Amino acid sequence: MGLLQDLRYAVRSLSRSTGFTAVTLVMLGLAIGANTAIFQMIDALLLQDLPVREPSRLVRLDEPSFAYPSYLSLQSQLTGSQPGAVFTDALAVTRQQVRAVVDNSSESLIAATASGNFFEVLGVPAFRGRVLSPTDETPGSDNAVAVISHDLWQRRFGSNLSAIGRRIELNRVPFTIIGIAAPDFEGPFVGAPTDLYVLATTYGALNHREDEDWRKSYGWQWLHILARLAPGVSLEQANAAVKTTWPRVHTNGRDVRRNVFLSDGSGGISHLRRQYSQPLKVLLGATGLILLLACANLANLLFARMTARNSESALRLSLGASRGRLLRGYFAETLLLCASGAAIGWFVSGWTIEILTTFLSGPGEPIRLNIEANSRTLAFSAAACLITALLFGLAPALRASRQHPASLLQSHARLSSDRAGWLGRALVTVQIAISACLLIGAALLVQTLFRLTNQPAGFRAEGVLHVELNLIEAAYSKEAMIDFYQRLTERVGGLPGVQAAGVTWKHPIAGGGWTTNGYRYSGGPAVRPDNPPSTHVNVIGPGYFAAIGSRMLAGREFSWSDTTSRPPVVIVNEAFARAHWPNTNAIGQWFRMDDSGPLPYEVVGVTQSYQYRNYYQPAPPTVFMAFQQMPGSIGGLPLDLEVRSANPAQIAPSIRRVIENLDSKLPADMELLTSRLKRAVGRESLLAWLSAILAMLAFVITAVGLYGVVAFQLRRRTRELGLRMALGATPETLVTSTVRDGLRFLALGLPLGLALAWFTSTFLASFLFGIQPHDLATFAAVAAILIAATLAACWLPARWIIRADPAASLRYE
Amino acid sequence: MIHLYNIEKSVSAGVNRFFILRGITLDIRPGEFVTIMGPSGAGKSSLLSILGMLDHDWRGEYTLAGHEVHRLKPNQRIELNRRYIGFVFQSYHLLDDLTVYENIDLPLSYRNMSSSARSGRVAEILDRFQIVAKKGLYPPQLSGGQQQLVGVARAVAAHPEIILADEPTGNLHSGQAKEIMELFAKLNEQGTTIIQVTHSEVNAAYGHRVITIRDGSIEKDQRIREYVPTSQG
Repeated sequence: MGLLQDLRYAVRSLSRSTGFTAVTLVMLGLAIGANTAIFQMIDALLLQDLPVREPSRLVRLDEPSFAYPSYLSLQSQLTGSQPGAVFTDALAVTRQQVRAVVDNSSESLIAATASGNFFEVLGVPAFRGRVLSPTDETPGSDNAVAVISHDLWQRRFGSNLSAIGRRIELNRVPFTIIGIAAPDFEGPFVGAPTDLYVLATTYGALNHREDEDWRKSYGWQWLHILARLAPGVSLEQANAAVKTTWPRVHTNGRDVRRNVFLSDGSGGISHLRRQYSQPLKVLLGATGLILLLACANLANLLFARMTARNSESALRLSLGASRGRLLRGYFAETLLLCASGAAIGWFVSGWTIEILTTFLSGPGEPIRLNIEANSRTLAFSAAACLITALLFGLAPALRASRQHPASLLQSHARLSSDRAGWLGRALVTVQIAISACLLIGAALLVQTLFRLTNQPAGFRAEGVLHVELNLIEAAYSKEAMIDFYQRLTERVGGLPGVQAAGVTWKHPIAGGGWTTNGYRYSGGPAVRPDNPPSTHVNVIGPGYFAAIGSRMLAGREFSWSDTTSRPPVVIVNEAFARAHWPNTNAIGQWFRMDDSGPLPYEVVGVTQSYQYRNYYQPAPPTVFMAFQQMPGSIGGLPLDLEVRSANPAQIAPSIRRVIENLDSKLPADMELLTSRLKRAVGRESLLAWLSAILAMLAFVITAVGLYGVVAFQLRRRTRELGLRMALGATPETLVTSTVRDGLRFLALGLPLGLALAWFTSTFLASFLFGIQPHDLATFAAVAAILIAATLAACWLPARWIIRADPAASLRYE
Repeated sequence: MIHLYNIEKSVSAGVNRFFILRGITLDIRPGEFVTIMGPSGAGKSSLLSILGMLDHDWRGEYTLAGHEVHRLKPNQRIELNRRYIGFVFQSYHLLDDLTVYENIDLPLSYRNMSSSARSGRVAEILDRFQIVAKKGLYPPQLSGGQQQLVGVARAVAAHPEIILADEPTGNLHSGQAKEIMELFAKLNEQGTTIIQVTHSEVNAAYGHRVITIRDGSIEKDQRIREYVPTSQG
C-alpha cells in the first residue's frame, strides 16, 4: 500500500514538473531506445539460434561456398558410421531467386536449393505433407518436388491445404508441392527468409544449364555446407579431423584451399553477420556511452530536483518519516522515470530497427530479421532501466534522505555561496570526456566514408542507370540471350537522351564473379599445375566501358562484329597489362584460359582499372570477355544493362518500353548505379551515419547537462550574486567568473576525453580508410568544438546577470 | 513531562567554540503552555529543535515522559518523536503537491496505522477544524491563515501529547493569528502540552509561563498564569 501511495505521489509530482519530466523522458527514451535497438540487431544477427533440433550441435564450414563434388566427398569421408567420422550427417544448400508461376500469376521468390537430407539434418519437420528426403534424389525418382514455407502457404495459398500436390512453375520448370515447412522455420539464411525448398539436383534445370559443370566441377563453387556433430565430438575435435581430411576431399588438387575451418552453425548462414557483426558491436559500445551520458544528466537533474526539495525532505523527517521511507519515496519517483523512459525506449527502438533494416536492405534484397521481444532483449532493457535507476537515481535520493529536520527551523538570513557538489562536477567532466571520445570516433568514421567514396575509382557512377534482367529465370537459351542482349543494347543505345549503353555480368564494386584458375599469356611461363595463376574475369558487351565512364587507354571496345565466327578477343585492364606486359604494348598480345577452346584470345583493348570487389582493395588484374564469344561451358550468364544518360531517371520509362517490346513477360528492375554502390559501403555507411548521430546526441546531452548544472548553480547563488553586485561587482565580472567556473569542467574533461579517444580509436583502425586513428587534425577540431560549446553552455545561463536587479536578487528565495 | 538538565549546543569556529545554548536546565509539566522568547540568535529555535529531537548534536540530559533521550540512539528518538511530538512551523511547511487531506494524513502514514484508521482520524480532524470543505484543495489555493490551520491540524493528527510551535503566527495578520492562538489555547485546555517560540507578547499571554533566553542561556523563567494540572498531568 505504501509503495502504491509513493508511486501515486510520484506521478503527481512529476506531472507538475513538466519541463524536468519531459527532458528526462526524452533523454532516457532515446538512450535506452538506441541501446535496445542495437542489442536487438545483435541478438537477431549473432545470438539467436535457428529454430531447429539441437542447434548447438550444428557447425558450418567457414568459407563462402563449396563445389558439389566437395560436398559429396565430405559426406563420404567424415559423416555416418565410417572410422574417423565426426559428423552424423552434412547438408548442402544455396539460395537463389526464381520466378514462380501459380495459376498464371507470377512473382519472384527466394528458393533454397538443398541436398535431400536438408530437413533431416536440421531436424525440422513438415507442418503438413512431407519434407525433402534423400530418396527424392535417387536416379529415377521425380526430383522436381518443392516444400513451401509456412509464410508462403499463408500468403499465396490462403492457408489452404490443397496447396499440397499442386503444381508450381519455377523458372518455367514444373515442380510439385509436397509439403509445408514448420511455421517458425524461415530457412538457414539469417535476414533472408526462404520461400521454398527444392533439391540441389534440380539446379541445372532451374538455371537452364546445358552442361553438368555445376554438378561435377570442383571449380564451380556454389554451396554452403552445414554439418551436425556426432555425439561426443566437440568442435575442436571436428576441426582437427577436417583439417587432416580436407586435402583428400579435393582429389584433383584444383581447390587451392588447403585449410577449411568449422565454426558454430547454430545461428545459420549469414553474410550480414560477417559484414555487420563488428560494426554492431562498436555501435553497442557507443550507445552504451550514450546511456552513460544520459544517466549522468539524469543524476545531475535529480540532484538539482532533490536539492530544491530539501525542505520537503526535512519536513517529512520531522513528521516521523524514517530515512528508509524517505528513500523509498524518492527512489519510486526515479524508478518511475526510468521505467517510463524504457517504455519510450521500446518505441524508439522499434523505429530505429525499421530504419536500420531498411538501411541494410536494397531493392530486391529486403532483409527480414527476427527482431521481436524475447527474454534476452527484455532482460537487456530491464537491466538498462534498473541500472540507470540504481546507479544514478540512488545517490540523489540518498542525499535527500540525509537532510537535517532542524534545518526547517533555521532562518534564511545566511547567504550561501554553495556551488554544485563535487559529484555534479565530476559527472559533467565525465560527460565532456565521453562526448569528446564519441565525436572523434564519429569524425574518423565519417571521413572514412567520404574518402572511400570519393577516391579516384576508374569509372563514373553518376548518370548511370542499372537495369537488372534475369533471362535465366525466363528460360532463355544461350543463343536467345545473345540475340536479346544485342537487340536490347542497340535499341536502348538509340533512345533520345542515352549517351551509351552496354551489358555486363558484374558492375564495378559488385564483387563476386569469376576467378579463372590457370591461364596462359604471350611471353608468360607455362602453367604450374600446383600453383596455377588466377585472374578476375568479367563478361561484357559492346559499349559497356563508355556506359560506366571507364576510359579506354589503348585499342578499342568490343563491337557487334566480335562473334563466334570471328577470332576471339579480350580486353584487359591497366593492372593486367602492367603485370603481364610491363614493357610492351598489350594490344596484339594473346591470352588463353585452359578450358576456353582451341584458340587464344587476342588483346584488342586496354581499359582503366577500377575497383572490382570493394572500395578498399586496389583494382585487381582483370580480363574482359565479349559475351557473344563466350565458350559453351561458361556461356549463358545473366547480364545486366548499364545506361549512361544526363538524366537517367527520366529515361527509365523508355527503357522499360523497349524491354516490353522485346519480351512483354520479362521483369526488369532499375536503379541508379550510385544507389546500388552505396550498398557496397553499407558497413561503412552504417558506422559513419549512426556514429555521427550518436555523437551529436552525446554532444547535445552534454551541452544540455552542462547548461543545466551552470543554470542551477547560478539560481542557487542568486542572492549571493545580488550581494556581490550590491558591493560593487560589475555584471560583466560576474559573467566572466561564471564562465571561468564552467571552463573548469573542460579543463579536466577534455584532456580525459582526448586520452580516451586516443585509446579507443586504436580499435577503430580496421574500419578506417585513408585516415589514421590518431589523426591530429580531427582531434584538434573536436577539441575546438567542445571548447566553443562549453563557453556557450556557460555563457547563456549567465546572461541574466547582466540584466539583474541586485535588490530583487537579494530578496530571492 | 520534560526535564532538561545542563543542555549545551556549540559549534567550533577554528580553535574556539561558540555556544548556541549553554547550561539550559528547565522542567515542563504536562499540560503546560510555555512560551520561549528572546532576541534573534538567542538560541530559541535550537532549543525547540532539541526538544523536538530534530537535532541530535547536543550535550546534557533530556528526559521526556520518563525516557532518557540523551541515552537513546537517533532511530529511537525518531520513534519517541512520533509518539509524543507534533510540530507547527512558521512557514507552515505544507507540501504543495498534496491536498489538505493528504497533508493531514502524511504524519499518520509514517505511523503503524491501518488505512481505515487513518482515514477515520483524518475525517475527525477535518471536522474538528472545520475544514472538511477544503480537503481536496492544495495549499497554494488556501490563504495563509488557512494553511497554518492545516499545519496545526497536521500537527495534532497523530494525538501528540506535546506541540512544538515555531513562530506559528509569524506570517499571519492579527486576525488569523488570534484564531491560531485560540486554537492552541483550546488544545491546551484539552491537555496538550504546548511549547511555542514567539516574539509576540500577545501570543505569550496565552501561555502559563514565559522563558526568556539570551545568548544561549535562560535569562528569566516567569509564570504569568496559574497552571492547573490537566487529567493528562
